[in-house]
This record gives sequence, C-alpha cells and structure tokens, in this order.
Amino acid sequence: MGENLSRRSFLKGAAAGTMSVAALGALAACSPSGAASEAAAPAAAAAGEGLAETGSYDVMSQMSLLNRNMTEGAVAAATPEEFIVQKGDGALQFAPGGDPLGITPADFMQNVPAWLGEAPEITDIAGTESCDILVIGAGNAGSVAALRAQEMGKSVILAESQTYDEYDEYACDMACYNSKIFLDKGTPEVDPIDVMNEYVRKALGHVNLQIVHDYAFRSGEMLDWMMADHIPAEYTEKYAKTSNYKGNENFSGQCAGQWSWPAMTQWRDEETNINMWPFVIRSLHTSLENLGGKVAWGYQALRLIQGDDGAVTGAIFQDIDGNYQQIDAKAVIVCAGGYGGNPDMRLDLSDSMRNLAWAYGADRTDPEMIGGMGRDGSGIRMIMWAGGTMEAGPRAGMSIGKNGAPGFAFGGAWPCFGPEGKRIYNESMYKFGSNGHLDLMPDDSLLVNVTDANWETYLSYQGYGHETMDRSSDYMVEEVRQNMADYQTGPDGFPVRSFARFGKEYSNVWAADTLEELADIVGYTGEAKENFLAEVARYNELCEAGRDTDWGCDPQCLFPIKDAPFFASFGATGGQPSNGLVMLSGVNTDGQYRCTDGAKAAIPGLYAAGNTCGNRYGIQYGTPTAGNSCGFALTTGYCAAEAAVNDLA
Amino acid sequence: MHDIVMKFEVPLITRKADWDGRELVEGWDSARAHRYMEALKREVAANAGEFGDCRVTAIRWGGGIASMANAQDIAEVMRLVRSGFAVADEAPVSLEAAIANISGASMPFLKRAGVTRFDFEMMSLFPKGYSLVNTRENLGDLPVICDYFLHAASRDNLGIVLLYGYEGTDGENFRRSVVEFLRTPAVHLRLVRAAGPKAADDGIAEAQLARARAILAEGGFVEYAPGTFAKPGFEDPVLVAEWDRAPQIGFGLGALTRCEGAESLTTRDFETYVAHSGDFARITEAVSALPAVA
Repeated sequence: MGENLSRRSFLKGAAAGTMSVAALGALAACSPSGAASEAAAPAAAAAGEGLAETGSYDVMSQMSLLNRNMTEGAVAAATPEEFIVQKGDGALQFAPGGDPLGITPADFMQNVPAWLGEAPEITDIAGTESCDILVIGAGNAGSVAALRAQEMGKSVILAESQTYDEYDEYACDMACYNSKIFLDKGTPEVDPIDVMNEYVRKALGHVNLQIVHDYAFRSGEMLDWMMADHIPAEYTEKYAKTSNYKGNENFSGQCAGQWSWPAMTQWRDEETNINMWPFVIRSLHTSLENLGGKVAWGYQALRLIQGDDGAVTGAIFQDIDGNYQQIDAKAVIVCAGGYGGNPDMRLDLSDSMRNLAWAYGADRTDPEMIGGMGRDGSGIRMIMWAGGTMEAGPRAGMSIGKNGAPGFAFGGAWPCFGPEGKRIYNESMYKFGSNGHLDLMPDDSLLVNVTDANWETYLSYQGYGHETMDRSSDYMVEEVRQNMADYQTGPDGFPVRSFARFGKEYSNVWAADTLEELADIVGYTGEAKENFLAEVARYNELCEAGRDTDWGCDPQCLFPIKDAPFFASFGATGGQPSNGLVMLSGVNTDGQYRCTDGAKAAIPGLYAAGNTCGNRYGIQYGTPTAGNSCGFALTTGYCAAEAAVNDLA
Repeated sequence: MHDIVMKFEVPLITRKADWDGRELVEGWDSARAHRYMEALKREVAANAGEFGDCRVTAIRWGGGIASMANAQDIAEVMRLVRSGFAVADEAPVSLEAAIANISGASMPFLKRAGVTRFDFEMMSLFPKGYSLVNTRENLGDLPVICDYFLHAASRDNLGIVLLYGYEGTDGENFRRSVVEFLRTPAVHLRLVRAAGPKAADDGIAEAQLARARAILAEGGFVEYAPGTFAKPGFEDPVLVAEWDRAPQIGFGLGALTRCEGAESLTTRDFETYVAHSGDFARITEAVSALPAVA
C-alpha cells in the first residue's frame, strides 16, 4: 500500500465500499513506525520552536561580568589629573591575548547571513553570448543605462527576469530638475547646488556626494534626452503630465527651512487615469533594439562571472525554460532593484524599521512587521558574492515610521489634533523623515487633520513634495474640486480623489457645518471635545499673530479654521512600520558607479545603478520634490552607463 | 469531462491575532515555507494524470496566508498543475494574501501563476478598527498595492477579508469598515467571525452581520455563500463548491478532496506531510463515503 495506490482509486474504492472506511485504520498503520515521533517534532516546528537559534548569545550578561574586577588594581580617579593619566594609559584595556571572554563575531552576528549564502556553482551552460556592456534589470535605471551605453557606441544586452509579455514596472512620479520641458512651460530654473545640498542635508550627509551631484545637475538633461530622442512625441504629448503647478503661486520656496521645487512628471492617461509609464518605458527598449542592442527577456540573473583577477566579465542567467545562459561582457551594470520584496533581507538589513518595531513592542523577527514592496535583492546578493559591500546603516526605506498623520486626500500641511483634542507637533515640518515623534504615541490614538472652506487657497501657500497637492494634472485637480464641492456631512464622510499619493485611489474626507459636529464625527467626546474647540480658537489666534509659539509651524502654513463647511481627515495610530515602495539602501560605489569592496577599491567591470546602488538617501527618505526616487534611478542609470563606457575607452 | 475545482492549503501565518481560531503554522521561516512548497509540488506531480476526465474550472490558494509561500514556488506549482491537469482557460485563480507579501519581487511570479484575485486579510478598513485587529501590516500600504501592483480599479482583482464579532471592535467600527470597503475597487468580500476570548456573543455578531448585509446589498454585492459577498459575476467557484460540497481536489496540509462519492482529508502534521506528500496513503488522515444523493 502506499506508493502504488492513487488518491483517486482509493476514493473510488471507499465510495464503492470495496475499501471500507474502516480501512483507514489500516491506512494509518501503513505509516512508518516512526510516524508518531515524526509527528512530535513537527508540532514543535509548527509552534515556532527552534527558529532563529543560530547566533543566539547573551552578550550583555557577559559584558556585565567584564566590568567586575577584570582589571587588576583598578582604582577610580580621584582628581582630574589622575583621570587624564588613566585615560592616557588606557587603564581599562583588555589583558594581552585579546578578548578575555572569547566572544567572536560569529556568536552574535553573521557576516554571511542566510539570505546571502554562497554563489551557486553552475556548469551546465546551454548557450553563451557576448557584448560590451551587460545590463541586468530593465526597470528605470537599467532601461536608461542600456540605451545610453548603446547610443554611445557599445554593444549592449539588457537582461530582464520578466518576459516581454509579463513585463510590468512600478514607477509613477519622476522628479527631474531643470528639464527643458519644465522650463519651456515657465517653471523657474532652480539652482542645482541648492537641490544637491538639500538632499545631502536630509540625509545628514550619509550619501555619496557624486551621486547626489549627478542627480541634481543632470536629471533634467536625462529627461530631455529620453523625451527628445527616444520616447515618441505622441506619448509625451498625450501622457506626460509635467508639472505646471498653477496652484502654488504663493509658496515662498521654503517651508520651515526646507526647500521644495516643482520638477515632477507623471505619465497618465486622462480618460482612464492609468499610469502609462510601464508602457512608455518600452519605448526605451524599442530604441535600444533599433540601435542594435538586445533585450534578453525572461533571463533571471543567478550570479556574476569573475576572472582570476576579480574582474567581472559577465553573468549567468536562467531562462524561462530553465536553461542556464551565459552572457560575457567587458562591463556589467547591475540595475536589479532593491531588496524590499525579499523578507529575509528586509529583516536583516532594514535595521531602522526593525528596531522601530521592536521598540514599540512588535516582533522584530516578523518580516510583515516591517513591510516592503521592492524587488528580490538578487542584484545586491550577486554583487556581494563578487566582493561588493552593503551601504552602512541605519538603512532607510521609502516610508519612515509606524504612524503617520492622516493628511487629506489632496495633501497639504494642515493643523493636526491629537487624542486629547490638542495640536501635537509642527505640521509644516511633517514630511517623510520627520515623523518619529508620532511613533512615540500609543496605538489607537486619534489623529485629526482639519481645514475649512478655504482649503484650496491655503494650499497655494504650500510646496511641491508629498506633503502637498500634486498639481501635475489639471484634470485631477478639477476632480478634487468637484469632489469637495459635492461634500456630504455626516459620519460616513465622502470620497475624494487621493492623487496626492496615488493615482486611482479615493480617500475619505469628513465634513460638518460646525466644528462641534465635526468633533462628534471624528470621535472627540467630553473633555477632548472641549479641548479641540478651545484649541481651534487658540490656533486661530496664532494664525492671526503669524507666529506659532506652540509648535513652530511655518507662517505660510498658519491657516485659520473659521469658515464652514469644516473638513477633517482622521485616523488612528497603530498598524506596523512599513518601508513603503522600495528600500533605499544598496551597495557601495565609488562615485563613478563602480562597486567597491571592503577596502573601498573598485571591482573592475562591475557597476550598480538604481535601487541596487546605495548611498543616495542615507538614513532617511525626503521629498523636496515628489518622485525623486524614480528620478534618482533614471539618472544613476544614465550616469553609470557613461562611467562604464568611459572606463572601457 | 467532469467539472471540478482545485484548492491549495497553505496554512502559514507570521503571527496569529487573538481573534484567529485557525490552525496555522506560525512564524517566519522562508526555508520552511520552501520545503512545504516543494512537498506541494510532489503531491501535485503524484496526482497528475489521475484526473484526466476532469476539467478544473477554478483554483484557490487558501488555508491561511497563502502568499507567504515564495511566489516563485506558487508559479511553479501552477505550471505543474497546468501541465498535469486539464485546466479551463478561463479558470479563475484566487489567492488568500497579505498586502505585506505583495512586491516587485513577488508580483511577476504571481502574474505568471495566473492569479486573478487577491483576497487580502485586512480584517478592518476603518483606521480605528484596523489598529485593533490587523496585527501585521500598515493600512497605508493598501492603496499603493492596489494602484501600483494590482491595478485593481481596472482589473477587478481585489478581494478583501474583514472581521466581525470582535469584542474590541464596536459595531460602529465594523460598519464604517464595510462602508470603506464599498469605496475600494474590490469585487469580493468575505466576512469572518472572530474567535477566542474577545469574540462577541452570538447576538452581537449576528446584529453586526445583518447590518453589513444591508450595506453590502445596497452597494450591489450579493451574498452567494454565508458571509461571502461578490459583485455579480465575481463569485468564487471554489467557495461555491465548498459550500455545495461539490467535487474538489485538495492539496496540502488539511486539504479536502471530494470526488468519486467519497472525500479524503489530508494530515495536518507538517513534517509528515512534507516527508510523504507524494504518497497518498501516508498523508491521508481520513476517508469517508459521501451520503448518496437522492
């Protein structure tokens, strides 16, 4: 019994009575004698026992022993002079022979974590091709890099894991500074030095300055190049909703000391509101092929090939039929995206989010506690197998934190009231990367944004980042106006086009004819309701004075709440931290997009761009302009291609 | 040809909430998930060819958070299914999923697997209720998932699972959650009742359900199985078959197969299943004849 009995025939027998239900006993008896013990072990595994046991080490208890009389004759300094001598003498150094506790890094850290493992050995190569430059990944960075390198005279193969028919791409907003298409529409030219310094400031200096410089100075050039030479004019005409920002005419250019500039393009079909970039980007692939390059669809990169000198000379792929294919090249540009979609890598590398979750009682070994939506990290792994290194932490995701202010569907820096009905922070400072204080709040705390009938006038004083209204598409602005004009009062709110963040989703806004009614709708009762009404009055006084001595809100954003109807957007703290669309950390490069090893030396022939390339954002994401992540990806692809071509020359 | 539906049981979850009464394998372990999927492949391969007279009209991946399985493995299983069974061209494929598992890494393979609907276990769509009952994710990620990855508004591929009858969720939170649901592009909704110590009593739960039924009916949703609603034309054939006790092929831990007038139940023992998934006799826990149809 067993291997030779099919499920179907058994069921047929059971139903026909030729094999009685009682035969189940016999069936169970057919199980191996060790079944019972086998069953016990899995029960433990199912309960999560035995997980994550590697590297478990109680470092702190050992270190506490270290402080107990480990240094013979140690005497506390009684005078400043003695203290200086002790410090100078290194009186607390370990005894000769090294670490007296015998702690090795392997006890509590893994230099080769499970997600990294070892590069697979592959010998059964079905076919080999060659080119000058191999680009891995046909997203934003890879598509641009391949086309740029081919256009500069090199033979290029662009390898993409998805098939031609399955291909999808997740970019939407793209920010590129001083593009001709913006300047021609009357958008003022911005100083790229200001742009560069703002991004560096937001990263607190944790960036590769050359990469940020390239983005600030060359992203507009890159967008113009794509539009002028490679994207059909009818697509640009029909789908490129390049910023015109008619509504921000009162914005001063800075808010609470933070710069913000108009530079974002979306590619959308007006009738359906579909994001067209995943289709339009195929124009770059077509252009590549027209210039003699090739796209290898359905090629999943498995590992890089290195010569004896360590130089990268190609890569091995698995095609969709399961065959191994080798592509030899003089240079390889890895543009395989980040690692946000790889839960194991996210757990290990997303240190800031992991510890944020842990700090607030969540399980930092649970990858769903720290979500992420990017790619599988295979590009980063391959580079690390080849000797590359990962950007230092703390490593940022695109979203920051656990809790966010609810905001309005149409964006904006609005007065925000907390669970007790009082304002709780500087709303004009709230952007990506500056809401850590909200994470200090307990779960299920009410947060309420409020504005009034003058909401659009107030928006005209606000900037261009994700904190405010995206006016790149007139038709979407019109829809918001209509939604707001059609407002409905009451507890169920009404839907408003939510294009401040996403193209096709609607968000709820709640309306009331009085602030008292609004307080009831959002859930303020008793003292909290009284506080809320008093706080609105207090806030209006601050607006009148033009100076927020409570929380420091920028005077541009001090808008009184005075004219009905009154609008609210509200939510509750809770949920889990999310890294958002992509992780922003990647591998180290040398400023010319060459991947570097632990000695900071370039690995010959190996380049990284897009989300595979690190040191673009450092410790946090910021949005002086919405869409800068895609802008960075496109620009790094453009510049990495030039670097590789120049090196080959 | 006989019509039959197919169900995959992937009883995985990172961490169960206090309202969750399901028997699931908890904890994140991608190696373990991969072992399980390898076993599933062996079971599919062992049964390929046995159902040559059957046409698979719908497929469902459920049993827990099925999206916790590596998407590449799901695509590979679906390839085996399509090569070893007669799957109708239009057969829908639904996947019980967590939004945390949807990414640029998983979507290409879930597309390749032919998933036509994602049933996300959000449990609440109203912020205050969400913070109480969803223990895994960030509510703010849902619009991104819908717009960037699913293109849900134009593809009718979004389903939602909501929780009712939870003591900590008053009726108003649940009602608002249902109202929020109607503002999403979702075409399918399952309402599951809370279990455990915080579960509301029958009267409260029934009252919440009745209220939701009225709201959903007004929103154009039809209750085609108890607690299961769809826009007309988007009913899940596998859930219909489960309710009707119609023929189905089940794979995985605790799977139910019903055909030939009998039904079999697969073991819920993880290691036994993984070790012997290709051997029907070793993994089958119970077989019984179905009552004769009058």
